[in-house]
Amino acid sequence: MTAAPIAAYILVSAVLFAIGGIGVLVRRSPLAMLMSVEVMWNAANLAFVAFARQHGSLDGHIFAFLVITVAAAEVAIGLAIIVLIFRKRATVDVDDIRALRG
Amino acid sequence: MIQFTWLVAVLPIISYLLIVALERRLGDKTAYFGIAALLAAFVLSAGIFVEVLNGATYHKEFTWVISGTRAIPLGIQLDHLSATLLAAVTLVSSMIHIYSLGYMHGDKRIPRYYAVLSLFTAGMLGLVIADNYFILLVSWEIMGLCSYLLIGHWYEQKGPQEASMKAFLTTRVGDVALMVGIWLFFAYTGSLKFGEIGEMIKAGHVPATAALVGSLLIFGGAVGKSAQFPLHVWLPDAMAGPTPASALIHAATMVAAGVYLVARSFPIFSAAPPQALLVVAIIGGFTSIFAASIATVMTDIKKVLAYSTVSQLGYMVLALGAGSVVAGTFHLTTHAFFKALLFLVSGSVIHAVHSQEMHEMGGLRKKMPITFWAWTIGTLALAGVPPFAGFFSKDEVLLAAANLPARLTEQGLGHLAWIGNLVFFFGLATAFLTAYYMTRATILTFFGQPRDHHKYDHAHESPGVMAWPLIVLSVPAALVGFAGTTWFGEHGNWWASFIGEQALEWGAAEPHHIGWVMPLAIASALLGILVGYLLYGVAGVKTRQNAITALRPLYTLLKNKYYVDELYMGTVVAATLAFSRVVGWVDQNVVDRIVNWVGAAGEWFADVAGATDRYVVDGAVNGTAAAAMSAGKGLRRLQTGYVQSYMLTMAAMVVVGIILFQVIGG
Amino acid sequence: MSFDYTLLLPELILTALALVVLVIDLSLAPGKKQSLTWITFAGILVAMAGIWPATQTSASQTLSGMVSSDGFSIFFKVLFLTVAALITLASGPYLQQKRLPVGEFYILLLSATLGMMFMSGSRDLITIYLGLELASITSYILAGLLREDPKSNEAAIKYFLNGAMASAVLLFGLSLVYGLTGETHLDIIGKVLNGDISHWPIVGVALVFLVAGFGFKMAAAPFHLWTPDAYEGAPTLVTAFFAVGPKAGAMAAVLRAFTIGFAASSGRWTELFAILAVVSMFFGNLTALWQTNVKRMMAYSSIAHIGYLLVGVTVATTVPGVASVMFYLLAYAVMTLGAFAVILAVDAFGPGDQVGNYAGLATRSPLLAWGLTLFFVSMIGIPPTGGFMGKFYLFSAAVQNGYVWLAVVMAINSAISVGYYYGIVKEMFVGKPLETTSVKAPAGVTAVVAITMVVTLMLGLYASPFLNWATAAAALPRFF
Repeated sequence: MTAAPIAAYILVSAVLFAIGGIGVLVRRSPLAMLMSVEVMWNAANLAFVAFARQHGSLDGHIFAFLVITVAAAEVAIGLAIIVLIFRKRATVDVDDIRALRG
Repeated sequence: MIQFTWLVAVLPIISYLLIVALERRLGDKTAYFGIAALLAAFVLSAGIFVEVLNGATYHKEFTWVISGTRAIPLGIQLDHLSATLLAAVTLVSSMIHIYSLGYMHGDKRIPRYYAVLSLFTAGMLGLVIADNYFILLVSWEIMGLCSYLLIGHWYEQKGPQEASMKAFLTTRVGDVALMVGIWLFFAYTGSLKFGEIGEMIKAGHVPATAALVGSLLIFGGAVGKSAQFPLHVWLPDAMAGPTPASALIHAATMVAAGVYLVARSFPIFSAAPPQALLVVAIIGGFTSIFAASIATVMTDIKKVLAYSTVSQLGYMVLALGAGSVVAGTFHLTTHAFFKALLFLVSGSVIHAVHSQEMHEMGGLRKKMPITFWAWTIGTLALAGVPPFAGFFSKDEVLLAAANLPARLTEQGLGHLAWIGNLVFFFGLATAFLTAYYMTRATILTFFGQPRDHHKYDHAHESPGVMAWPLIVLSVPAALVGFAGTTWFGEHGNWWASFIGEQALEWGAAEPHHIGWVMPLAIASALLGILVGYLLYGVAGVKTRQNAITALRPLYTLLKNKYYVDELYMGTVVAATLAFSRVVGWVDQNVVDRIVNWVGAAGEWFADVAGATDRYVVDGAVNGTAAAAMSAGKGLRRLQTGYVQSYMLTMAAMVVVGIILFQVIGG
Repeated sequence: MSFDYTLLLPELILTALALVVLVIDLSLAPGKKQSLTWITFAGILVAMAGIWPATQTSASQTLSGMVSSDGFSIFFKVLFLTVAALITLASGPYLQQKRLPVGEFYILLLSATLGMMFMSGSRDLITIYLGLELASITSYILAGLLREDPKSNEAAIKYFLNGAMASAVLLFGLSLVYGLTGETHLDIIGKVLNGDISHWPIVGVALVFLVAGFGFKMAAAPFHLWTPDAYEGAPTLVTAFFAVGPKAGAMAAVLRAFTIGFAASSGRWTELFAILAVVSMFFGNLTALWQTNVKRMMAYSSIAHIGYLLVGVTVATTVPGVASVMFYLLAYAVMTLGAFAVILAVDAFGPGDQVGNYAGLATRSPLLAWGLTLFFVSMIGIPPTGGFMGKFYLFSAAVQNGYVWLAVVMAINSAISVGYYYGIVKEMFVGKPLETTSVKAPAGVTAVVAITMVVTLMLGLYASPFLNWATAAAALPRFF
């Protein structure tokens, strides 16, 4: 089985990045936004791994692993903040969170 | 004694610190620290002046390392010009310190007043002995701050508070120009010294355009500080401060600092393209006639003097612009004495009748003889009647202006020689107007019948502590002018050889003698006095009313000071306000507009995306469709405070950046 | 392969310190945690002393060249540790008064500092990214530390969501760079990109992504929108840290990453930074004019200061450019921390954080009022202060490299900024106070104000040692 060309991986990665970006911009729920950001990160991960294969170096793989680790930490913090807000008010629509502005 | 030059500037700082430190314990008595320090400084500078007369000079440098490769020598210097001003400033300042004792009696913030007055004097003295732009700028800012504090001394009242703001902000415009100018020259030459920069310009280290722009920026500082058109608006309003402070800061010293700056920067101006000095001359000439014409209709005695000051400063600037350092600095010195005197007299009058309106005065001559005679001497000096001080210096200024057309031709600007003639005419007309408005003020205040009997009955001669400074200052106001005659000099005009030697090194062009200038100057002064006397001494109120009615438009125009303030309110200030409102609006809306615009473009896309979102995004995200309901909403109207509008801006900017780079290509 | 741990001594000490604080925190009863302040403070001083061995060895790279401990990173390590020390010094009574979790605060502060130290020392995309994330993730928690305050919650969620997206954007940019060069080490990236100009379109995209990611972190307009909200909502002490630390960290990373990795396309990214500089200066200063909340105003002011700093980044291809940015960062850190110490005192131990709350402060607490005035004077750029010297160096660096227009924009902005700083000074000296009792600032806060006042003046009057230091650090031969 021949591997797909590198361009295909990059295209998928770019599409994932765009989908994640749109998701983060249109979804009202911070949870969904967080998940969309995850998609963006993983788009970058895909690119890293694909490039690593192309260049035959390990750096990209290592980078991807580290990103996954960091993302886990980031999600933990994000969920904690969201839960904190959820305890105060019944909704978590980000549009309701705008006491600070101007 | 000359090696103690630094002490002259340090003495007022010491008194400032003492006043601040001991304010709580000694209260109003701290005023004596200021007086003592200033008298000591005066004695010291008088001694220094005598040594300088005998040929001594002084220059002390220390090195200021601003980076590993750059060491900048800074220093203080004492030459003929700075020694003269040192003596003049300390004399005037010490007299004003004494006078204030009477004038400010009973004020609730006397220590603060004296502290600021001392600090201000230190700033002015520091400026005079600086040999570089750094110390000059520091002193300059100190004075600006003190001026602000003194104008706003009675800050409970709305007038002083607003006036202090206006003064601070208006002069700041000039200060920014000055700072940029200094930076510009420093970037090109690596020097901060007056003379050195000029030499490096001559040696071609600075492109001509940069030299022109830089010198005009430096002049911008002078325009702000010396209240030249179009930044003159703050000075008349500054009269809201205590009168002795006006006398010191807004007549004798600080406003003269701008003129001094131009004189000290003369090596730069003369090395820069000749257009730079021409601009200086035009601004000076125009300001002199412009302000003098306004002074003719003012009814507030301090306002008359304020516009007169603007006009006389214009004279000095005109002289410098015409290339004569001698004339400019001579008028600077004489003016310091007689204008400080006139202000102190006006303070004495205001103190007596508790009003500044000349229409509520009249006939005060008999009640206040000392004040009256001091005023008369000051007036004759200002009007330029021989042999009082102002006559000689004004004559020099006019002579310089008369030489301007020839000078322009020499410099290859022959086609602009008409400007020289115009500027000379401005100067001559100003001489006439000056004599006229001073005669008018004299008659309205001191002659005729008292117009407000209540105020007249209340009036009395000022106490000795105020009267003596008037008497002391009358002497130089009357006599200093003789320095500009041939009687003392070994080679002609004494002042011209005293200052001129140095001025020639700076590239100044001292004027040739022109026989018809002096008679013309005397004639216009006498004509002014005559017209003033006829209108206010002989003709009745009715005649004047008729004259005003006949000249209604002109009168209104002058009375409203050519509407410059209104113009500023209407344009500059309004534009600034509007602009920042726009920006405030932009901040709250633009982001959203961009966002909305992006959003609008994406509106249809959002509908399409509704489906996409439901199946692709959710599918990709977690495979559930729990939140699919919100998908069809698309991009709702986003406003600041919404976290997503921030994020969308970020995304939009990334897109814009990429497009930008792809369009301009590699 | 070299693992020279002496070069990482400060980082190691800081890590150990965070763990020690964690353990001690558990063993102390609630309400009796004052000793943590002094443990942290002493530990930071020890970490600072730990920099010394690194200056004595000839080696400068460790962890296989991923991290370097050269003059440049030592300069920034000193800066970050000083910031952490001053924040700690001011923290004790504030944390108590606001009932903030003491142990957590110090651990997060130390971790964030650690992250920033890695950002300044990294020569590899991986370590830059990890350092940035360490600093960011801890910052999100710090912003939301006032758990019961909805404003603090809001600050945290906004900072978090924006930050997460910014880091995704940055990461995607990094992946493109890696794809182009097959390397994560900056030196090699620089060499590869230098060899082949045909990479341009992709490099352009990557550059925009990186500038956006870093621009977010340093709060440069137009990536600044989260800043005012986060600053206003976060606890004042944390805001003080935000205004200095993460900005300086991002600035260090930008200076190193762009001048080494993207030296070949410097003509391009300098243009981008010039645009960001102008936009930041105008946005920050003009919007600040309309603020009534002092913390929010300082947020806009900090955006403007980033604009000034970016003027230096625009000419960062030269030694004076880099050195002027470093010097200004130093001056900025000192005057900003000083100003925030005063704001903290007035907010937590005085009337509040609105401009009106400053009325008559000059008579109530002269030291605070004069201190704040001095810091504002320095921020405007009036001599004889560090802010003046810093602006002066930025200005000369820009002029020398032909960016006269940028320098002029900077001067104009410096004049505009007088407007809002003056408003507060006027309140303090002319306004009528509602109460006449003095604002009782804790000794630690007062000490911070006094120290920063002295240093601000010192940077103005005796700038040369600091500038020489910055210039030597910026002129490292392997830096360009």
